[in-house]
Amino acid sequence: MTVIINRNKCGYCGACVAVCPTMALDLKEVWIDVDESLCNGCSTCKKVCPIGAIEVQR
Amino acid sequence: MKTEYDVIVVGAGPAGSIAAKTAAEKGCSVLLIEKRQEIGVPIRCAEGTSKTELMKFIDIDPSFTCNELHKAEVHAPGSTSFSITTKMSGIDGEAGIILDRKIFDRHLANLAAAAGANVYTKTPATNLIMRDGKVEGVVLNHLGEERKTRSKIVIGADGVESKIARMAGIDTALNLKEIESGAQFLVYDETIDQTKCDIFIGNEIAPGGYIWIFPKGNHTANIGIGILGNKNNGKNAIQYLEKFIAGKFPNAQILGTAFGGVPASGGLKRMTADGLMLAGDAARQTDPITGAGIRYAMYAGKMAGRTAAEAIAAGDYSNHFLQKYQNEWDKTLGKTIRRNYKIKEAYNTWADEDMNRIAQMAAGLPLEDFELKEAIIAVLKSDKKLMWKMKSVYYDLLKAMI
Ligand SMILES: Cc1cc2nc3c(=O)[nH]c(=O)nc-3n(C[C@H](O)[C@H](O)[C@H](O)COP(=O)(O)OP(=O)(O)OC[C@H]3O[C@@H](n4cnc5c(N)ncnc54)[C@H](O)[C@@H]3O)c2cc1C
Ligand code: SF4
Ligand code: SF4
Repeated sequence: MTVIINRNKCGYCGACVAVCPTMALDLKEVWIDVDESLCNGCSTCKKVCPIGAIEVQR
Repeated sequence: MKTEYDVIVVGAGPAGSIAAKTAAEKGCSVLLIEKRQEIGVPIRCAEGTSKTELMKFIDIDPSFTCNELHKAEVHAPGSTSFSITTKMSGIDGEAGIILDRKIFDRHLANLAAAAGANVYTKTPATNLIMRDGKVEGVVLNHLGEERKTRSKIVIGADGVESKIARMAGIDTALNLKEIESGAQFLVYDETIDQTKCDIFIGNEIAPGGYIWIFPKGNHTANIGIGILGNKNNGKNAIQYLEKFIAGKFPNAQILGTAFGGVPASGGLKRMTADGLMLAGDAARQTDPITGAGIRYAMYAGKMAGRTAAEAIAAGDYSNHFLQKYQNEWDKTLGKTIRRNYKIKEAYNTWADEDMNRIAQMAAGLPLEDFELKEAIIAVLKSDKKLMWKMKSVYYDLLKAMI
């Protein structure tokens, strides 16, 4: 499972981190760290992102 | 930075800074750490709050207040609108204040420092130090260098993206119906009315949320949107917002961009553990209807900071002792936001035509003579169909009035 965050779009707001059920995401000041080994591909992060910066590849 | 403190506060937003200030004033040694290199930047807020509430915590200074307002106009989908005034709050001297949060948040951290707290930026907490299930400090990274700093109590005030709770085994992950997805522009446009706030509701323009115009002076305003996470209909918040701005303010210039998730869950069921308290967005202490969180975060910070000082004085950092904080919260503001969660759930079933009928009804009432809660009840009472939709919360509304 891969989550791709478009860094040029991301507004580093942390909404995706707040909804990720597996703690796969982390807001590091101005970027999102993805731990692919934890991601289950549920796409919740993609749905909450206010700017559409997230793509989930299964 | 010392290697040990009474209290470590993670996150220098309103919750964290007020918690640090309160605990330091009561004689605790306090460390306040913020992961960002600048406190308050970038903002994730529409910056609106209540003047009288703010004055309970700090002296109001023109350096962080951009505008003072007394009226909000609510616009229903069918273009009927009605006004809510600060007079309706029934509170003397009430006004809506639009803050400059970059300056405001820094000011609060400043007050924490003045009270004696050690404050550091660019210093994220990366883990908790745990022993036998008890929180005994944090692992932090200070300008790239890892350190272990011990404490008797940790206060997790680490915002919507909070990890502190989850590190201690409290699951704070929000599901999509419990979060508003927000986007906002700081707009320059000479046609913006600087004398009132505007709120636009409707399932087409902002499903499960609303669009706001909060004027900030100098022909600028925060124009933003919050939509419920499970109601986005395949579009992002920013797409709804861009459409609205293009229609209303075709000449808008964009001076700032902000995004954010606003918890709308009614608050955590559990906000303490051995050696740990959670406050503010980290504890999901925001109003599910309005998305307001600043004043709730400040109240929570004050309660948590005070409880921390009492625990230190008593030499008892157990979950049992720290639950005093949660009990105080649950009985006061916690009650309000849990009630508002229920009201929001009922409101979410409204169709645009319901909103229109309500707006027409409200527009016809002498609202100026009402207090806000009475006005809501009066409007509901006059519409049977809507009263039926709101039946699950009708008694909560009545109770709220008493
Ligand atoms: C779009 C939008 C509009 C809003 N509009 C309003 C409004 O008009 N009025 C209102 O009252 N509220 C509004 N809110 C809500 C309000 O912004 C929040 O409720 C409020 O900021 C919560 O304060 P806090 O201190 O809990 O969290 P925050 O202000 O988010 O502060 C948390 C801090 O913790 C830091 N942090 C996080 N993790 C770590 C770590 N591991 N180590 C160190 N530091 C860390 C963060 O960097 C941050 O500075 C809005 C929110 C959004 C998203
Ligand atoms: S929700 Fe979107 S904009 Fe916000 S931090 Fe995550 S990827 Fe970035
Ligand atoms: S797809 Fe699901 S598990 Fe993966 S990062 Fe997004 S929210 Fe987390």
